[in-house]
Amino acid sequence: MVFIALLLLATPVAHALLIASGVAMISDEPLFLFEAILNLYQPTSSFPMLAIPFFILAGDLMMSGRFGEYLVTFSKMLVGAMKGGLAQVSVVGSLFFGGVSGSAVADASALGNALIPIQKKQGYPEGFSAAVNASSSTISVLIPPSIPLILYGLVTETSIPKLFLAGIVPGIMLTVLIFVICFAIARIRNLPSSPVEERNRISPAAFFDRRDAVIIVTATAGLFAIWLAGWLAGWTVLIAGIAIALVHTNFVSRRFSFRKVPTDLYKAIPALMMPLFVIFLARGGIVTPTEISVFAVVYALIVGAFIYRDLTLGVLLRCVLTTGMMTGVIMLVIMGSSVLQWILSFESVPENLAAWMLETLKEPWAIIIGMNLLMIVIGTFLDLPAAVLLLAPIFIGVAPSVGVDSIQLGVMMVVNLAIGLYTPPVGTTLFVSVAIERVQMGKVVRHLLPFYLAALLVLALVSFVPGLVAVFL
Amino acid sequence: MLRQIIVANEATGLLGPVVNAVDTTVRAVCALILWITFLAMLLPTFANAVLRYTTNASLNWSVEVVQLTFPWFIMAGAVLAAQHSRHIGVELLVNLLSKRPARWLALVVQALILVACLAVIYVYLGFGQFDGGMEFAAGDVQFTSLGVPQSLSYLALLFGYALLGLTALATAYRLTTGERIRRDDDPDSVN
Repeated sequence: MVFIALLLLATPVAHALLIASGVAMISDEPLFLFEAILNLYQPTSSFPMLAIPFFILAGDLMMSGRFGEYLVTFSKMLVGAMKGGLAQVSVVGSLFFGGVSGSAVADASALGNALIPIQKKQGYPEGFSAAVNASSSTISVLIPPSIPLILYGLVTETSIPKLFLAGIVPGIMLTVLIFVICFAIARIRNLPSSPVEERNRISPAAFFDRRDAVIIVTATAGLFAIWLAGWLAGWTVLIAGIAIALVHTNFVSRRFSFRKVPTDLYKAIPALMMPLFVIFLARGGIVTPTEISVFAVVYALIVGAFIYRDLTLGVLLRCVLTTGMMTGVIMLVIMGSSVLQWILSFESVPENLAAWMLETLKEPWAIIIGMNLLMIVIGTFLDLPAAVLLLAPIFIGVAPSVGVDSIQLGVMMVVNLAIGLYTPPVGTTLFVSVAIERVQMGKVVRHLLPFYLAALLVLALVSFVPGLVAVFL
Repeated sequence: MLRQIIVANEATGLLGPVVNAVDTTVRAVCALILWITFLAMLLPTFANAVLRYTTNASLNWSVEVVQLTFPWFIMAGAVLAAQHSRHIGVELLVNLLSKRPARWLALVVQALILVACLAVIYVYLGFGQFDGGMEFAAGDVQFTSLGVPQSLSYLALLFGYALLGLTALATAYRLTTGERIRRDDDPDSVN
């Protein structure tokens, strides 16, 4: 109660947690205070927590350089020629950016600044581009590396690499759904396609005709069948499919050659490799999340310094400061919640809550829906990281009793809370997008409705189809 | 570079210069700590990871360096974030209020933050009925490889909450002298 009152007063979450704990302890023995301080300190000396600043920094470094520019160009090449091309670019771009930054807000501002002004000029309906940007940028929290998934993994002691792998399928599903919605709206409203420079103009027809496509698709489908039969690992299908396509178009049909590919496409490769790099390390299973994050930073430094050559000392220093601030913000909440959790578990609140939920709602599906509703409400008012930190420790006690394992719960939680990022009254990606397009919030929200439906559909699937998150595990 | 971060929202009034100077110093100190501790965390961790997978050897002290410096990195970051009023809060009510009550509310919040910080410091220092709170927490335990007392890393907590309190005081002063709190426009928030 104290906590909620404090939050409504706009007290920063971290301090509100501390004060609430303090009030809860007033009647307790003084010796507990020392233990409280120890609990406050504990997360700061935790080695796994180090993954937080390093992943934030890796994303920061990449976003501050020209990575973003190349990714936008690359997305334009892929889907820009479609009707409403720029909206599609922001959807596909979010997928790629997600692999670099793992932060929806960084995504929303980078892509929004690059794309919304042009869309406005091209006469997209008022509020539409902000709506697409606000909703599609949340894809990035599902694509590895993802800061919210790291936070969830840390507070619930769930394997972070596994969470990363589990987030991929829902992330891609969300991308496809939002993409389809944009496609349909662009058709109905007859939106213009995006301007592409001559040298970057490519069309699939230059590389393969229909017959080639049939051969490639059949071969890949065959591999997929073998994978379903269990003889191949999931990711080999992807790699083999790409290999078949390359070999076929290069040597059999001879329509494709690497020289035909615009150079701007090659420039996007180092940035596109980042998520694959993280997944590869995570799949390898020999490295801890902290080590993956350190490698990611070093990778970003090397790419920035030697490949794109736009990393200066000034940029690095500034990135360290912003990373430090973000880490400080997140860790202060973690520290505060670690104290409160210690008290809560002392009074066995999570267990009681789990028992209460089981007793009143009875059916597992009702409990899952109940958890989701609670998350949606909290997510609407609270920023994603803080909401994860507050809810994860409580729900982790409830989930197993309704057949939801900790990995599924994590993905479910992130999909759910990400919706809160673009729901009024407070939503960070919504705010950013609205600020960039300079429209009234109400106009954007009207365009958001189909995207809410898409996100809710993915949420429902993630909640009730456990196999969905286990595809790459 | 440094200047960009250190640009203070000018405080006015009798204590204005003092408050501004305090803020500037706090920001500079935090920036410095962030840069130093960042290097101290990145290099050993990277070296250790590389060594582990190439030669199977490991640097025992690398984890200890992190345990020593990470708290400082966190607290310096938290203070800097407070200086730029970036901490996560629910701003629903404040947004609904008009300017004057919103300012009063903000003042109350600063007071609450100050209380929380003072409480942490109070308990930490082990005032009142406890003697030597810090020794209790850290004992005389040393980091085995580094040979530095562990209390050095606990100290970051004291440092951080003291500066957070100081920042709250400065912010409160600025609120009373009438300067609007500038919330940084750039959306580099966390997610």
